[in-house]
Amino acid sequence: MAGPREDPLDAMTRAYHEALPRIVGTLRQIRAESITRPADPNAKPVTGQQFLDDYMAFKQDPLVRASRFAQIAQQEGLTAGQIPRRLAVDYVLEGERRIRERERAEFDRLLEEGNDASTGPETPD
Amino acid sequence: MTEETKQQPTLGYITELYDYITNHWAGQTSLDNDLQSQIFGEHVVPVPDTKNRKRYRRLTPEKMLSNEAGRVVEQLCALYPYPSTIGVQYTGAGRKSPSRADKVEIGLNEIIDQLNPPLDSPLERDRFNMIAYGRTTRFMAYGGHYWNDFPELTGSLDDWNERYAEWQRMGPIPIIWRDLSPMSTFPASYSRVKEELLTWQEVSAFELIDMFGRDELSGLGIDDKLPFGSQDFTLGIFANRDWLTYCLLSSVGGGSGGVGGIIRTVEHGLGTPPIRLIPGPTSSRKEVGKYWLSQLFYVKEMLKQIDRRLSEAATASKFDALPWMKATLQDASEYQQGSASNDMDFLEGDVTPLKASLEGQGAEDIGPVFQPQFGEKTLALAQWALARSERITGAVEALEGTYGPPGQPAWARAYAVEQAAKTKARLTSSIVASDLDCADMIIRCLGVHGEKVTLRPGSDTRKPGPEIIIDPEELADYKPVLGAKFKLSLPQNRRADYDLAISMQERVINGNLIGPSPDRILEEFTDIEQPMEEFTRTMTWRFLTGPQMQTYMNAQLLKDADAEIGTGKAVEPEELMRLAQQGRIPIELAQEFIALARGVNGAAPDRNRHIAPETVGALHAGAPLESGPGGPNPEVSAEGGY
Repeated sequence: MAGPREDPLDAMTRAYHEALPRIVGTLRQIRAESITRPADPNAKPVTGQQFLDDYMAFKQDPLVRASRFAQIAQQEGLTAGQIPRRLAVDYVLEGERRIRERERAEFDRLLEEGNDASTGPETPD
Repeated sequence: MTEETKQQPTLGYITELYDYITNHWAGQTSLDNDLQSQIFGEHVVPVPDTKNRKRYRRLTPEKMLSNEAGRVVEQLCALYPYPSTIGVQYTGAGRKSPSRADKVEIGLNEIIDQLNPPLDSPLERDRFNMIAYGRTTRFMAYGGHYWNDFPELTGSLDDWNERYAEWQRMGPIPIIWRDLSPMSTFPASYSRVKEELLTWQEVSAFELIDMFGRDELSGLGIDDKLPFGSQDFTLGIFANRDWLTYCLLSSVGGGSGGVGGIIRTVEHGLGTPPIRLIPGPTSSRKEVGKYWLSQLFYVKEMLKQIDRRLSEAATASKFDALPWMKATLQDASEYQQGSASNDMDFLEGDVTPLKASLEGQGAEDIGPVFQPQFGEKTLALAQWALARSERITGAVEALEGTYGPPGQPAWARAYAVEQAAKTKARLTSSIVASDLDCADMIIRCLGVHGEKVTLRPGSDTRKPGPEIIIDPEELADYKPVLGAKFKLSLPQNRRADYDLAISMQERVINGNLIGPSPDRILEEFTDIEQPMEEFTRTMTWRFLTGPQMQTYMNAQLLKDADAEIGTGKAVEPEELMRLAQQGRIPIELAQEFIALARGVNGAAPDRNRHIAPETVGALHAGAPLESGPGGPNPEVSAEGGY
């Protein structure tokens, strides 16, 4: 037998609050990926790994950062002193999210292999 | 020699009773055997003698069964898959709170549930017997003496108490419930159905030793040196209102081994025999074989006719199963082995050569042998009888959940099903009576047990439910009654009823009719008990899924999403720092972006000096260019190390 039925209004409120982060996440992902993609609508979407590689290169190299900053600011038509949101917020948030995701996957893998995850991955000699 | 039904029986009495019963109930046993062989398709079907040596064409006759008896029994069993819900009625002095009755009810129903595990439910076989043989026979007794895991009285009393408490926590139920074969369980007479009964079964030495152990069986002729299976015994269980006796019967029809003797006698204390015989629908002829009415009682002879007609049709169909040709030839001898031979074999599906004429002048020819089509009437009879059997037994097609003819309105099918189910009213009340008898026996058994019983619903699963404690003293003042109306399990009823309710509402609302009002329709034809609450819910759904609400929700969702991820192409340094402080973006990146925006020493950067990717490559290669927009930035260089 089915359990007690949920009130339709409660169900709608819940659905709304579940949908919002999903929509926000998707929008943010689209805006973040547009950084790594040319404006050409026929361009192939990048894979998760490609995006991560791109972001790691961005994070490690100040030259790349500076270049991107200038490029996006110009694309967005920003005036001097303005920070492009698409780059500084959306792109970075998405990149950080993917790094966390990869770390978690790595952690899970280590746990499954029975290693002591608290010591972290072993470094090769 | 009749005796009081409270007297301790002797072996002589039981043996005499056994002889009497086997003779007295012989008519019932032969009827039961007849029904059983039909249900299992083992009955003899007379077939036409198509293999008679005097025939020119000989064929092995075909036995074809309709299996109608099996279908009827299965169909009706499927209507009663669950035990009736048992309620209780207080019959003691004064008044008791309803909550206490609720507790007793829950306990009783839980015991019935636990004594009927899904893979070995005696209740299912009880149903089968009731439907097939017109009565249910079972054994229900206090089983505390037979727990094989009951802690033994060894060691100190404290130690035993501890083990006993541990054992009790596991929730054993001190009741034995076994289904018995109605074909070997009979009362001494119709008037002693609730007073004195005997059941017997064929067992091997192995089974006997397994049940009673060697000690109890000593002196009863069980030869340990022989293989287990080489000796057969008839184990008799006799019960009257006070005594329960296990014995070996060595009289008429008794086992080949054993000398006969009493194995165990127990004063059961139930006040009624633990061997139960609950009649199904009965007739007014209290004669052997005419009183307990099997659901097949009125069709048993007709079903034999059906099988006979089908076998005739199947045999007849063999005669024209293959095309048969005749050829008229000038000289048939060339088709035969040896021209002198006059023997002719007529083979099915073959060409039979015939001589054209004596003079050998006629034209040669070949053509099919005309085979008249008999058998239509035979089949029509069988079909008529099958339809008749459906109507008599009440196991109609509608109960099988078949869809019926296309275009048939739902209410028509619901009506057909309802009518079919109504014909089972007598059977249903017998089944309810049988379930109530179970509950009554459970109360009696727990009374004999005399101690509180702890039940753990789902104790065989990982997460057992809460404990239910049943106190036999409390139980004694309650009488089991039917908890709720016992409904046949008919899912198609529900679907059809919903369908009917919807179409009735449509007709009432669209037709501007006066009634019945939708709330009455819902109450009558569906299981919705609160129609107004359902109305509120319906209106809420209608509002929530309406186009205005959809548009509003979409707009709101997008607006909120936009607010969440920030609007505008530029981000303020304060927002960036806030995100960094929340740990969502690295703080050094936030600082760097702010610095990049401000340019060196707060000066605005030159937007025209965009660095193309190629230039980045050139910078990496050590080309003599500035390494960052707006000149060196102390914070960045400290961080990046270049």
